[in-house]
Amino acid sequence: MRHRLAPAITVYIMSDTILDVVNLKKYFYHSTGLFSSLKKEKSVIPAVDDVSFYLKEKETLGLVGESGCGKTTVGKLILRLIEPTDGKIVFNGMDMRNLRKSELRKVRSQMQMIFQDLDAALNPRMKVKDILKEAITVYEDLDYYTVNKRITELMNQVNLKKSKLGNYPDELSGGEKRRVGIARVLAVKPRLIIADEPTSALDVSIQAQVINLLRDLQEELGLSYLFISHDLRLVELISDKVAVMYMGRIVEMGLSDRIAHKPMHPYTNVLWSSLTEGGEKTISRGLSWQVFDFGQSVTGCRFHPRCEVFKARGNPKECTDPQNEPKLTETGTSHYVACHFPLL
Amino acid sequence: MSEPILKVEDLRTYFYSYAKEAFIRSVDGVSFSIKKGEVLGIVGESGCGKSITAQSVMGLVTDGPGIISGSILLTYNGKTINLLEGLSDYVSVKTRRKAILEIAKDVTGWLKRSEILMRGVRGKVISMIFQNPKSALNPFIPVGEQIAESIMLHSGISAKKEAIGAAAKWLERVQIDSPSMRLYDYPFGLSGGMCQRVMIAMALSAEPALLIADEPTTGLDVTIQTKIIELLKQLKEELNLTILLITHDMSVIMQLADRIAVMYGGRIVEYGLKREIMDSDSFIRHPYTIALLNSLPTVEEIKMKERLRAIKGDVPDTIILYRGCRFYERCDLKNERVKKRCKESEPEMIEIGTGHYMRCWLAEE
Repeated sequence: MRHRLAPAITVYIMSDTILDVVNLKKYFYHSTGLFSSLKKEKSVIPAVDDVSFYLKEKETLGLVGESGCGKTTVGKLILRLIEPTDGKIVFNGMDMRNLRKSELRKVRSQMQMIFQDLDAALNPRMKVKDILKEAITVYEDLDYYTVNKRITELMNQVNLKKSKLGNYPDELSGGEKRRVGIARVLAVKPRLIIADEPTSALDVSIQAQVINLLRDLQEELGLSYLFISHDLRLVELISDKVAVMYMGRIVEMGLSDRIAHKPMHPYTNVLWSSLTEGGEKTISRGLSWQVFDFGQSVTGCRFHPRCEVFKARGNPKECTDPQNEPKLTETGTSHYVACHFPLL
Repeated sequence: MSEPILKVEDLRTYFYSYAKEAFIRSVDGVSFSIKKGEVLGIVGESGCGKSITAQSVMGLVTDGPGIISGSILLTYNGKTINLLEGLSDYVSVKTRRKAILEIAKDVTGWLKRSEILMRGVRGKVISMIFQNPKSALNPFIPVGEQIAESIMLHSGISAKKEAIGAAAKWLERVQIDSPSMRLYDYPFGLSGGMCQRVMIAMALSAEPALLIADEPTTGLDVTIQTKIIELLKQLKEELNLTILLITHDMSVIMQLADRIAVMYGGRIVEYGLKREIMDSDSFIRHPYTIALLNSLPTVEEIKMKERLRAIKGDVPDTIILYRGCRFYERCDLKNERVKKRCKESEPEMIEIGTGHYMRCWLAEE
């Protein structure tokens, strides 16, 4: 069954939708103990469970949620770095899951990922120059002169001094390393960039530099971003649309303004109220200490053990009914929420 | 009450780099004091010397070529001791390679003495919670036993059963559900927020006079960050805790600190009560403090999708000897009149309000 969120197949070849994800699923099988393979029942971790969204050209979709909710897995699934269990990923009119390896390689030049771990992403034994050169020549066979020209161009694009070309990654500061990572991604001229927590390891001041850079590049090169982060302020700032994930599911999706200031899902509400604005006031409405755990079996709505509305309404049956898990439904103009009792 | 628990004066921690044949001046003349029941927040970018300051106080800076000087006065049980006492006799600054090695050899005698002294201080008088709670806990020992170990070491309880009972009480105090069951869990079975609370319980179980919290919320989820801050706030009220809070997150400082020290390039550039520094209609602030505050987007800015006001450039290199102000390169506020001065001589700490100090030539105007 096609999800109601996705436009019909014929439409997105014509329209400006660059990425369409339909009912994406990834289940990890968790084995415990020596003889677990003999057991009939395996414990399943639904890291990504029925996720659908689409991304238009030159648009930014922010994906937020606590750690372990499946944000990064979604990013990796789109690039097919890991194989999805089920679902459809359509990039630029092509079904990613039907591509052969050689075709996939070509498509990947148009979609790139910025990884979270700075130190693991750059080869410590390669100079900045070689890192960029490798990325430039990976899809095209270019002569020495063109490669050098392209390197200079990339360094300018990410505001890095040319003197850094001879340095090794560990001689660079966090902000510089991040910019080298961005330059390497830009080297293959992508149309879609999946940015997985690009600022999490950086200082506030450097964070602002990187965010400004990403926004400039979007304007300059017409890039689309899938911005994965748990920093709500930045997500709200950089994104056009925001999707909130909880335990492998999207619980709310809509324009970033609406999500931040008029949230309808109790979880979104709690997430944004855990932000504190510069001044003295502390918001103590935060969640309970408890964090979600895929090991626990939750029936019905996955959020109900932590939900304030559930408690306030005197534990209504709908929320715990296993047959009746809330579905993502449209409640306003391009605003979707998966909750039995959305906040108004 | 007004007597400070910890008074650090002109602390300098230098490391010698063989590769560059120069000193890295990680902490370069830092002075501050903490009164009982007060939270002092040290804030600054990474590489500005915040953590090294805390490690110097705890005596955790590894021996090796380098220099520590200044004085760290710690007051507890009515007596005051200098943690760096006698060290200055051993140190003479020579930058030649051979000379440094000789000094390092000399200092070992002092280090041995200091280690004995520090063993009585660490955990008991000053305790510390770290940035990464999972790696700070022993993965092979249940958390209850780890807390009990610290209790037995510091509180004079020698029976293990009794200590474990006390550990359960501490777990309850840091709001861990069903503490008597959690006692037997291993760190890997606990979430990041829970591990951090176990760390807090362990640090507080010896009822220290001073708690050093080094980036207590970094790496945790937003929702859990808020809870940890709330918990620290609550414990501070209950136990009249004194906390040295180290963080790069201005919003944590805003919520917890009473007094703020802003560090830049190994020096404190602004020091004073939070309400004096953070009051929007307060008189003057250091350009670096302003820049730090500005790089966090405000609600209005997010709404209008404005450009973030980033601080240009990078953190200063602490190897270079600066003649002028260390913030000069990145400063937006240097005006024409004082510009030459900014470049050529470093400003002193100037008192601009009661207990509000600033290291900037603009303050003189």
